[in-house]
Amino acid sequence: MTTVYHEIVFGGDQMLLKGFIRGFGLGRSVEGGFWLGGDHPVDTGHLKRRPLRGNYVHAICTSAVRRSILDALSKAPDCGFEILSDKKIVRASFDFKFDTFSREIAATIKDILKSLPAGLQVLAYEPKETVDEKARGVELYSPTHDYRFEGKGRIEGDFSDESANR
Amino acid sequence: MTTALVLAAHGAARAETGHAGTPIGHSLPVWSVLPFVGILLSIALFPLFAPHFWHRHYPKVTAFWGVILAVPFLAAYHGRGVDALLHTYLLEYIPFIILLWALFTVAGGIHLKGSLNGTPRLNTLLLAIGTAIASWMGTTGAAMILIRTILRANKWRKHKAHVIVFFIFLVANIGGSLTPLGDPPLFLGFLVGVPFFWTMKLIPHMLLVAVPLLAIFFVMDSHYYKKEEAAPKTTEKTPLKIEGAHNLLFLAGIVGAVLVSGMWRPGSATILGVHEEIQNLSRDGVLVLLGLASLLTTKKATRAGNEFTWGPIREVAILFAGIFTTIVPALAILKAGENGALGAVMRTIETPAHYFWLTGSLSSFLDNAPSYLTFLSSALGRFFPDLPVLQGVHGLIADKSAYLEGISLGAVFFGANTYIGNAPNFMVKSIAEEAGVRMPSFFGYMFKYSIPILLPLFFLVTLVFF
Repeated sequence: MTTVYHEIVFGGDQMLLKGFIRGFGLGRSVEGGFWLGGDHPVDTGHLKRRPLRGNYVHAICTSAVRRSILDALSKAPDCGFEILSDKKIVRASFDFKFDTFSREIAATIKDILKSLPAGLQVLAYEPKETVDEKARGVELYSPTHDYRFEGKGRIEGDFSDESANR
Repeated sequence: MTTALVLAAHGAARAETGHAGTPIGHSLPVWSVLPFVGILLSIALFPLFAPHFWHRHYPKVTAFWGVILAVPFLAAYHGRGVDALLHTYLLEYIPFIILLWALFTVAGGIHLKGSLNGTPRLNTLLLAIGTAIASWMGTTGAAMILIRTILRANKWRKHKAHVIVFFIFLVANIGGSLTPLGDPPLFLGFLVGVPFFWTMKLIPHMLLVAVPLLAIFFVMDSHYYKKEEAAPKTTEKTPLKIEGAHNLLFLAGIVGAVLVSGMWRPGSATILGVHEEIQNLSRDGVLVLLGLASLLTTKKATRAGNEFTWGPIREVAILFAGIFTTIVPALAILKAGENGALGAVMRTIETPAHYFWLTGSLSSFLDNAPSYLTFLSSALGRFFPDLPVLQGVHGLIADKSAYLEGISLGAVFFGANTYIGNAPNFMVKSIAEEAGVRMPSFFGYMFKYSIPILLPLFFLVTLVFF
């Protein structure tokens, strides 16, 4: 059964909210299934109202964790937190770019992009691989690399367990 | 070309007025140093802004600066110009290249193999070892031997750029301050008369920088190490092994040959009108033989482990041919002291601390060997103008030792300030990047590392010793 993920935006003091949510997770022995937006570069893009920094916290969580937290908050209406937004995540995407002089890392990147989880696809992918045999070898005063693999793109798709973990 | 023709006319006019006995530095105009400035700026800036162009065309750019100086210089000064260039090439350039070639060849035949785990303790130990050996096999040789070992040990780590930065600080620069073999400027000093063991008096200065650097590194690496995921348990543990260890004997031979040339006085010979000391010719011959012996007795696979190629030596030979040509007017003007075109400038450089910081400032952005020569000549011109260089150097050591300390330390230490400060810096950065390490940018290196970490230590050296 595929896990369903939600994006909840909480209104309230950021540090207090983080403390509450982390304490909640420890107290209920909730492991995983929860990511705070401040800890990861999460940008919903759809929030029209953008309160000042520190007054809201993005969180992505599984349905089960969502139910637990909302249930707990409903029993403490005067705790100072409010739910600004509560939406089910249908699709997600992120931009990526890379630039490496290492053939080994280049091979790893190619493998990752070839073997994405089901439901994900790479869009607007622009790789560029440059090999300059004349630049092979170590230099002291005229350093150039004999290999470069650079590129950028976008990965988009269903927000499943595997993509969440990645 | 217009500038070159004017230089020729200027010099020719002076020669016609009968100033044949006057040192060249008295008559050279200040803009005769432009080719020297040009080649140094080319070495500093082209790798940053046009690396592929520079990689392909650096010999032509070097030849351009060399010819633009040499042709009018020889036209203006005729025999004296030929004499000045021959002196530079036979007494400084050729021995310089031979020593670098020998050290590079021998060090390139030593390969460290084995699996190590990049913990803060091991990394600090490796940096300390590299710092200690840099003075005996050269900063380039020490860097070449150890960089791949330290990269392999830290391959599994996410946060490792700082390891390479401190490697550049310590192994590729600071560590090379104790003998003429450690860093090219110090060997140039040895060639003009600084005794071999004189630089050993810089041990306190070196320790004052190296020990805090190792301590700072240990704390920093410990902080980053805690952020890493657990080290992978490798099923195959390869014991540490030195391939090509017999090259250590050749290295001892190099040390011995250089040492003996500083003490033995069998006599002299004249080659192409230049007075050569037999001990120096013998030393150079022994260095060539040791390098050839290393090539013949070391397996190709051992050198392949270091990705050994002749590229670096070819670069040094070509670039320094240009530097040694174009530096002639600059050194002559500086050695003339108050009688030279830069006399007014030299009056403003007064204390050993000035020499430490000014040599260092130049060395931070331009190659440290010409920086050393420039300020050594400046000091000779200030205190012993127009004296033979050997006499002047001995005078500096006897009466103005602090000035020579400032110049030596400034040239060697400050090379760590930027990627372009010393030749091995770029080599280490390049090897690290090809191993997948995300190295800081040019300014990132300076603002995140060298300015906040090195400059306070250099201030400390100034307070304690100057």
